[in-house]
Amino acid sequence: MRKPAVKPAAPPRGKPGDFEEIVPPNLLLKKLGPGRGVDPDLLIEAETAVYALQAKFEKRFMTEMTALQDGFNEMKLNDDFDIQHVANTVRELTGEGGTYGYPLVSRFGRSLCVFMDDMTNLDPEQVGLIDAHLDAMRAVVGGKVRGDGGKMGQQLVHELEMVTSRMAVSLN
Amino acid sequence: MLSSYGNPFEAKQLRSLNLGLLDVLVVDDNPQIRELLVTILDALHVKHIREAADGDAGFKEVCAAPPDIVLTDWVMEPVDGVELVRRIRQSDKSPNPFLPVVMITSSCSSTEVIEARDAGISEFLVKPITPKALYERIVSLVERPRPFIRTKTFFGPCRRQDRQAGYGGPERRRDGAGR
Repeated sequence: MRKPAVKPAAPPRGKPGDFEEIVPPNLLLKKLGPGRGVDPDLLIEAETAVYALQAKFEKRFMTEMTALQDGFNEMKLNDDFDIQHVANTVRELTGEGGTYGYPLVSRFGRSLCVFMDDMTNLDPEQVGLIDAHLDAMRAVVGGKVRGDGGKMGQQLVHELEMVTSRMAVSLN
Repeated sequence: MLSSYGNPFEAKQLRSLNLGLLDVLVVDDNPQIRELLVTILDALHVKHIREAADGDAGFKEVCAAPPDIVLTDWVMEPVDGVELVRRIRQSDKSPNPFLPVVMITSSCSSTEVIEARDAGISEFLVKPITPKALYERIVSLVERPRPFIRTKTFFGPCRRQDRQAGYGGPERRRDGAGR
């Protein structure tokens, strides 16, 4: 006969005196209520307002990416790389891509940031990897590849994955 | 890009929160992100929106007149978002240590989540920033505020996500450990 399952002992909780639990008055509810939840009309209004910023983002994105690529080309010529600068710029733009309907920018940017986290000195293959990511990010916004990007988007994803997996193999 | 939220008919049964009365402080060193956040808040009919470019300027704003909610970026120079939260929670100068703070970050690594949580943030908002995500965080602050916990080394909103279920994690309150 099977033994009845023994209920594991509950983890010890802190005793009163070890900690103090404070429930502050809900000033936000007092100020904004009564009411609850998300107003769908208000949400659409906010999404429309963000949509109106999209063209401005696209223009700024292309300007900043061009400046970044120019700077990176100069680093290559001088063989003196400021990886942190590249990473910071990419990180900022990566965060914004998804906001303005370009999730592929976020996807490529995150992929690049993961690689750059481990980079100290760049070898030619790593330089190629950074170039490939910057090209792909520019191609997304330049070609207005929104959402998952359909065929063109999938092609960009595929090409970049080929480069990154080659890189991962060479690192191992 | 436009989307509706849930069942509009159902959601309209109850009046929504009146965000027009909110006073929000936006702290970010990137003017484009500040513009984005202000645009969203403005569209949500928030009337009082203030801006600061780093944690130090943000804390001065908080001390000058405490807002209802602080939205802050993490990575900023010279004073980052985590330090801003620590000052709000622990400084003698802080006018309201219970102030709700939403931390905005590009990363959702567990290390960063733990660091921000231990500093005393109320909510996390991982980029990309969207109106829906921001709106939901604000509603969550209003509808599901967490109690505050004070131990020897921690002061901030309760770090246990589901307070109803049996807690199986490390016992930080007993030993007073901040982590």
